[in-house]
Amino acid sequence: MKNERTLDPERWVVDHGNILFKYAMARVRNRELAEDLVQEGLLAALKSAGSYKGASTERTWLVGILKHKLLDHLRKAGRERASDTLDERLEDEFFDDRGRWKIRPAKWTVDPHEALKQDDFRAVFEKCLEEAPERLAQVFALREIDELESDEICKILEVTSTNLWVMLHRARLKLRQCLELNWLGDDSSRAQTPARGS
Amino acid sequence: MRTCKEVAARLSIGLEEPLPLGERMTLRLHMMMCGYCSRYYDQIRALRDLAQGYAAADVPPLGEEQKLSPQAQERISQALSKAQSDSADK
Repeated sequence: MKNERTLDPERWVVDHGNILFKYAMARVRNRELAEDLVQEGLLAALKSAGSYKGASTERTWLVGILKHKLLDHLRKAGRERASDTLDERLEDEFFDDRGRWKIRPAKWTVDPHEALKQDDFRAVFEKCLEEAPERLAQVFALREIDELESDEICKILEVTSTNLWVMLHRARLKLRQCLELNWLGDDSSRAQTPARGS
Repeated sequence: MRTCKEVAARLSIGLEEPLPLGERMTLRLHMMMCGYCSRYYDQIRALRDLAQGYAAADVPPLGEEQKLSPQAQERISQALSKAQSDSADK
């Protein structure tokens, strides 16, 4: 009997190549590296094709394998660049020297849950991730999009939990502000000018 | 008394692990008096929901620049068929 979900490696590149590539690009930001990861992922998938039981779709299964390859890569790269993670200056953009808000969180005019349904949500969200410092965007993606546990991320990136928390905090400062300016805030904050008094 | 800078950092940590009761109360008290920190807390929690919504949603059609280049497609396809024929030989 034919299983409803079977693998078709000859169609992988055509059917899933772009999605896998986009997944990798969002996390490594380098075309060549992302292409290499897609290739490594698909080769690894080919080797372990025997273990595919059809519990998830072919695409989900392939993304899962790519994710492992990506984590391997981050693990190796993490060791080399632990130092660029803790830049104090980022916080100085947001707070004055007495620790008060310099860029004050504005009221959001769009309800985030409504916003999820809007067409441009993905584009704005991706743009904001792209604009954030790479390392912070990576950490945020692992924690909040891939929903890995903090402990796991600390192991992969070889950072202490304190460092991870600082990075997540800074990523949130950045992303929150970017979403506000581009999308969720009111028009006056979008134009970065004070609201007109009535 | 804590500054907003410290409070914002601790609120973020609070999303990662439970904070001690005393500290939670200090933060609550600060937020009762500080609309910006209170708003910040709501918004970083919303940010988490947005990220999860992003992960769960269907992927829309990709722009050309987001796609694998034809050369890369070709290269990866060749690597795959080579690997397949190699394993078939064994």
